[in-house]
Parts: sequence; C-alpha cells; structure tokens
Amino acid sequence: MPDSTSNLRRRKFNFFDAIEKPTEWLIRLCGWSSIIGLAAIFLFIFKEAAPMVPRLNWVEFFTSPRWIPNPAPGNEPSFGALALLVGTFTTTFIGLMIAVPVGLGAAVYISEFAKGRVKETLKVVIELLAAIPSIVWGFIGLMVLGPIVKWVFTAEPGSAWSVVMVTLHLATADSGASQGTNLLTGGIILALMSVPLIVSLSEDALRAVPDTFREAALALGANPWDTVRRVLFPAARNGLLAACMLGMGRAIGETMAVLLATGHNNRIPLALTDPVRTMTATIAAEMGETVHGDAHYRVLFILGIVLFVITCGINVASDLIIKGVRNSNKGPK
Amino acid sequence: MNPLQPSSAGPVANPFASTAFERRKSRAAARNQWLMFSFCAVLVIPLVLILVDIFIKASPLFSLDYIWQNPVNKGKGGGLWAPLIGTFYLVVGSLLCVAPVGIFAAIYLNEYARGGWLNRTISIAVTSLAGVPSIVHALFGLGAFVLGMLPAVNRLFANPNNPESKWEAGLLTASLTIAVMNLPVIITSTREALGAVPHSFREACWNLGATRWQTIRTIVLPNSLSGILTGIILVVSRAAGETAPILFTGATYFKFIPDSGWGKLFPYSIGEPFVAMSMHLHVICTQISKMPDVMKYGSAAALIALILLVNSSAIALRVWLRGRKRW
Amino acid sequence: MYMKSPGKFSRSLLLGAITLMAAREVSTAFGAVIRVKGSDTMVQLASGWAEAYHKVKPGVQVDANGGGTGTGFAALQNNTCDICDASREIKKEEVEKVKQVTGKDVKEFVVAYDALAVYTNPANPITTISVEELTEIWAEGGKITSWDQVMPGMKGKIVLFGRQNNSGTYDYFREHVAGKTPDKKQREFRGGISEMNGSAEVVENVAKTPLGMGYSGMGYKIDKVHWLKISPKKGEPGVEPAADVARNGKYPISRKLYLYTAGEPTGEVKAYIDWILAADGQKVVEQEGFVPLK
Repeated sequence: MPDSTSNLRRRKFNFFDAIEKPTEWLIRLCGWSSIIGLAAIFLFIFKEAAPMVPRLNWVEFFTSPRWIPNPAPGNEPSFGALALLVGTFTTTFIGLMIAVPVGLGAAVYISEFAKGRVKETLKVVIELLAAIPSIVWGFIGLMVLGPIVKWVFTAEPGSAWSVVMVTLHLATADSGASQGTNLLTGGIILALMSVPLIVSLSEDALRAVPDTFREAALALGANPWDTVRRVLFPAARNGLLAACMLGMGRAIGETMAVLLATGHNNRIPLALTDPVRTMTATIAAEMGETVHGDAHYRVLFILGIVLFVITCGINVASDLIIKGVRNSNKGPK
Repeated sequence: MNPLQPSSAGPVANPFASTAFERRKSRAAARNQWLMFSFCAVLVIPLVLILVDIFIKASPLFSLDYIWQNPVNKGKGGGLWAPLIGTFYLVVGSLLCVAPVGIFAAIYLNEYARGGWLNRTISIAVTSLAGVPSIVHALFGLGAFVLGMLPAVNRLFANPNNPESKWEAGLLTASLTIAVMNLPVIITSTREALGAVPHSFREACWNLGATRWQTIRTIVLPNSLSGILTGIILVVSRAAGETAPILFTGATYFKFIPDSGWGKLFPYSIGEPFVAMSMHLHVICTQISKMPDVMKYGSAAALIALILLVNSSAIALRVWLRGRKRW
Repeated sequence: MYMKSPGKFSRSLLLGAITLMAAREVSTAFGAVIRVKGSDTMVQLASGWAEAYHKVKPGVQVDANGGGTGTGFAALQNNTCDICDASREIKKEEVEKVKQVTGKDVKEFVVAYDALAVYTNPANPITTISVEELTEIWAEGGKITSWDQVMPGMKGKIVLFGRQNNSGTYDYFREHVAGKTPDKKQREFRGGISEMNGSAEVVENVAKTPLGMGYSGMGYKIDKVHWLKISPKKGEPGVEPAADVARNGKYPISRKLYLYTAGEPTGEVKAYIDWILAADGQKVVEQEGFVPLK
C-alpha cells in the first residue's frame, strides 16, 4: 500500500523525459550538420573532380577560350575556360554596376526617409521580389527583356545610332545586337535578382547604426540627406560593403537565369550586346549530357570547385567584415 | 533699453529665416530624396509591369481545368497537374528531411552552445552554406546521392533480377538535395524565433527544477513555433521554385501519369524520376518546338502565383503573430 | 501539439508512413515501363511514339527522355535505359564499352531518315549554298565570315547557331560539313557559335535574327524561317530538303535515325520496336516532320 505520508512520490512516466539523453545527443549531432554539410559538399565535388586535377592543362584552362570538350574522333579535347570566366565576371560586373547604386539608394530611402505604411509596403514588396525563383527571372530575360534590348540596339547600317553603337562597343555588327539574349540582358536580370538582397542587408546595416549618431548630426544642423552622406555611410561602411559582396556572391552563383538570358555563346564578348556564357550555365547545360566518369564530366566538376571556392571566399570575407562592424559600432565609449 | 518698446531702427531681420546657403542645401536634399525614391520606383514599377504583362498573356488559360489536367501533346496543350503534384511531393519530401535537422541544429546553437568559438564557426558555416551556388548543390546531389547513395540502396533493397525495382534518381535524391540547400534557411529563422523568447522564461523554468531539454520542449519551442513556421513556409517557397538542383538529380519532363483514379494522386514513387513545375517551365521554354507562347506564359504565371501565394502567407503569418505576442 | 499528446502524433506519423508505402505499390502497379533515352533531335519523335503507343497499349508506359545521343549511349552502358535513340551511328568504342559492361552485343534498328536543313531568316535573300561554302563558314579557321562573301548585296556578319557539343546533330554536321585539315584530321567548329540547347531553339533563334544561320533537323521547320538548297559544289544546282532526296542520298546532308538496344529485344520492348517499324509508327514519323522508311 502506498505510504501517504511519504514525500517521495514516483513521478509519472513521461516519454519525452525518458528519451532526454539520446535527444540531447541528437541535438548535438544536428548542430554540427551545417559544418558536416559544407564539408560534404567540398568532399564529394572534389572526389568526382580529383582524377582530372593532375591531368588537366591548367595553363590552358585559365588562359585559352577554346572550349572543345567533345572533339571529332582523332582530335584531342581542349578545355580552355577563359571565355567562361570572362562571361561570369562581365555579367556580374554589369549586374553590380546597376544593383549597387539602386540597392543602396533604395535601402537609404526605406531606412531613413520612408515612414509608416509606405515603409512597410516597400519592405513587403522587396521581400516578395526576393522570392521570385530564378527560372522565372530567366523566363523574363528570354521572353520580355530580350526583345526590348534587341529593339533598342537595332539600327539601319549607316545611321547615327548604328555608328554610336559600334564606336562605343555597344554592339559588334553595324546593324546592332544580333540576339536579344546577351551580356546586357543577363547583367540586368542579375541586377534585378541581387537588388533585394543588397537592399535588405544594407537596411540592416543602416539600422545597426545607433540613433545617437543621427541625433548628434541633427543637433549640429545637418538635414537628413547630409546625415546620410556624411555620417551614416561612413558609420555603416562595413555592413554596406558586406551587403554588396554578398550580392556579388549571389550574382556569380546564379544559374538558371543566366542560362536562359545570356545566349549560350562561348566566346569573349567584345561589345555590350554580345551573347556570352557563364561557368554556371555551362555546367547546367553540359552536365546532363556527359558520360559519368569521363574527362568532360570531371572538368565540369572542376568548374564547380572554382565556383565553390570563389563564393565561399566572398562569404567568409563579408562575414569577417560584418563582425568588424559589431565591435566598432557600440557608440560613444 | 526697454525690450517691450518697439525699436526705432525699423523692422529687425528674422533670425530664424533661412539663408541662401540653407535654401540651396535644402533644395539639394529634397532633390536627393526624390532621387532615392526614384531608385525604389525604378526597381518596383517595371517589375510590377512585367508581372502584370505575364499574367495578362497567360489569362486565356485560367480555368480549373488547367490545374486539374495533365499536360497533353508534349505540353503544347492540357494542364499542369503532373508538374504540380510533383512539386508538391518534392516540397513535402524535402521538408521531412530538413525540418527536424534544421530545428535541432538551431536549438543546439541557441540553447546549448551559446557564445564561444563553436557557435561562431557554425554560424560561418551556415552563412557559407547559404551562399553556395545552386548548381554546386546540384553537383553535390549528383555526386553524393545519385552516384554515392543510390548504388548502396540498390544493393540493399533492389532485386537484381527485376530491373524495375531498381531505384533511380528521383524524388528521394532530389528531396535530399533541396533539403541540404534549405538547411540554412530553417536554421536562421528558427534561431531568430528561439532568440525572441525572453531569457526570463528559461530562468523561471530552471528555477523550478526543470532540465534544459524539459525547458525547451515545454516553454521555448511552443513559444517560438510562429517563427519556425515562417521558416518552414520559406523552405516551401524555395523548394518549389528551384530548378538547378533537380536538373540532374531526378526531375524529368516526358513522363505520363494516370489521368484519373488513385494513381493521379500518388503517381510517383520515391525511386522514380518525377515532373516538377520549375523543370516544366525550363523545358518548354528551351526544348520543345512549335510551343505556343501562351503555354510558356501560363506555366510561368502558375509558378509565380504559387510562389507569391506561399510567401504572402508567410508574411501575413508573421504580421498576425507579431500582433498576438503576449510579452 | 505533439508535446501534449504523443499518442496522436505517433498515430499520424504511422498513418503517413503507411500511405507513402502504399503509394509506391500503387504507382509501380501501373504496368510495364519502357525507358527510352538519347537524342535530343529524336526526343519529340520518341515522345510522339510514346503518346501514340499509349493509346494502343494503355498498360505499357514509355518514358522518353532526351539528353543527347551521347547520354543515351552512356545510359545503355549503365543499363539505365531499354532503348537508346541516336541521331548518329554508334562508334566502335561505344559498342565495345556496352559489351564490356553488359556482356551483350548492341542491336541496331534504322527507324527513319532525317535531312539536316540549313535555316536562314526570311529577311535574307539567299536561297542556295554549297557544301564547300558551308565548310568555310562553320569550320575553325574558315575564311567566310560575312554575308557579302556568299550573297552579294547582303551585308553583315554571319551569326551562327549550332547545337551543344554532346549532340548527335553537332557530331554529324561537323563530320560532314566541317571538312578536314591538310593533314587529314577532322576540323572542329570555329569559336563563337551559339550552342543552343535543343533543335527547336536553333530554329527559333534564326527566326529572330536577320543575320542568322543555323542547322537543325528538317522536322523543326517553322513558318518564320527559310531553308537553303544545298549543292555539293559551288555552281551546281541546289537540292531542297525533302523526304525522297533524303532517302536516296541526293541531299548532301541527310542521315539515318537509329534505335539501339543492348542485346536482342524481348517482350514489351520488342513489341514496341515492331510497332515503330510498322505503318502506325511510321505515320508518327511523318507527322513529326521526319522521313519515314518507305
């Protein structure tokens, strides 16, 4: 019979309490999951690419634009990735040239000048823009923006616009752009894709600047724009730089949008409206058709390694830059 | 001199009036403010116009049949049922894989390993994982799951004499690839949700004698469920929209599923290739000849509508729960 | 929530697991599956066959995929497909690889003919061209780069659209048009050709580009492009792509389309191939714009 005067009552059995120790071990294991995942990505890609690493002609890889992975019988394959590297970097460059000013400007407006409902609406709109999938951006580049770009850059040979285009290297042929899907279209689409990221990160960076800075500037008689230019930009400099770098990382790594919007042409662009091809698009277009295990397949994995190293480097660098912000921005000491 | 008596020197200049310099500066400031606003407008207005254009060009197709029927004649006619159900299964599969791991990882980061070098390293790893290009995730999925995991699974489960029981790149491998891609999203949003629970709640629990795990499962997790749900909805939207990771880990285009009956709701098994909305849009834009433009616009509009619906519900959920917070 | 009622949670988990397992059984009970992989040129033809055969034999499901002729041969080696579509003949080393991996000999079926047409934009007045000129336009180191070298009166740089480098069409066009170097090696294509991801894209791009020229199967012609008459040598009369000249070889760039299986086909696969070679299958060939066997 249970002793009713005893203070030690047996606790009711609870399933979730009983599994506490194994659950905590599981939690510890899952905590390491992102490190395990990152390491696994590098490991598996390197495993597939490794047999080719000693055999690849690295000088040719980085300096020659001659990319012939499936030669005619009797010829040697040629893996010159210069055109691909140039394609990636030029599209990213054009994308950033558009995205950084627009993104920073929009972030400044939302963070400093917009009030109440306008601010909330703009933030919601930017968030929805960030959610649009990349294949839809590619579709927009191919079907909507491409024809517009082509129409703008077309001219009768000999007319004034044609001469301007050829002199300023906006087009190679004197009749204008040959294709609507080209470097410029790809760059604009990349810009539209990176802007939401730059806007939200820049806004976070501007919000992290303590209000005391703004109040001090106001007390000294500065108007809001002066505050932004002279006080906030220098104070949030690291965060803004990190935002732009992450935007650049996104633009470099983008695949489906550039696959549809840049035009599939593996050569070094000589004008703004030349079709190009990026590293990401090459992997996506050619991987499905390689035989698992042959040289072409492994070189595509090597391209993957190059991309992975570049984007990881950008991410780590921007993370270190942001950490520098948190330590230096604690306000007056 | 009596200040209340009007001075005989005539009207005094208003000391608060703006000087020419100040007027110039405020005009420049107003101009720059309009410039910043125009950047916002330049960003938002063309995009809204493009989206409206896509929906207008796709409007001949809007009907319930478009969603309920399978694609016909290589996608040149018919509806979007096969890609829709495929995307649904992909999303469910990847959620099942990523939600437990991500939530537990965030619990670890926020409750068990606060501060310290491990926390920073894992944070850097999460950010780096978020920044990995989608095509690299696809290569990883190909190398790890299709070429690494599937042969092992086949050796264990498949009957060598029956080629149909062999597992191919399909729902399983694609779900795992998308799960790895979305791990940072779940971890970040769960961390924010857990961090929003005031520390005093945990302290009260500890004072009552609860262990850490008991605190988490009775107080911290239920109160951060809203943020976790937001993270899950974001994963849904990303899994539905991504194309590159499923290109060579399991998605296909030419696949027939039954037009009616039980098989219409459960058409794909996890070892078979499946059709997904994003892959469908990619293929009809680039590889099918004589594809009517209206079908391309229709598929794009359907995908955009799906994503916007999911994301709007995430935003609405966040706003509603912010209003309901009790602390 | 799950913490308060573990019983309900685990019950719903169990139900979900059972449903998933049932789903797998239901879908594989659909019937026999024939997996077809290979040529992008033939993928629409393969899909047309699959759809038509589905009406004839609803119990059999044919999965037709593209990916390029090379992918099809790779799938044949890996035993991940039953039939491989090919727009070029299989190479000796590929035959040996299949024999090495599966132990069976490759069996070849000719199922249709195709003529590779050279497409130009309607804004371009050119109507005829010779294979010699095509060599100089398309091959590496070729001397013809602008339209006025082949069509007096038409100005501008020739914009070239081709296929991606694992395509059987790419291989075939290179072998028959790019010609040979002085030391008898096959010439590669020149740089700067846009590599389109599918036969349809080549034609669509030529339709949008006044200075464009591209090669693709004759089944992919649309109203917005013209195709050129091809003559073997400059000055000779050109031959337009058509069914009869493709079959008898008078058209210089015509080829056969093949199906390959590993070993002699049996059962459902044999029935399918027999159906393709018979009248119904050949009618689909004609509908898709290719040249039937007879």
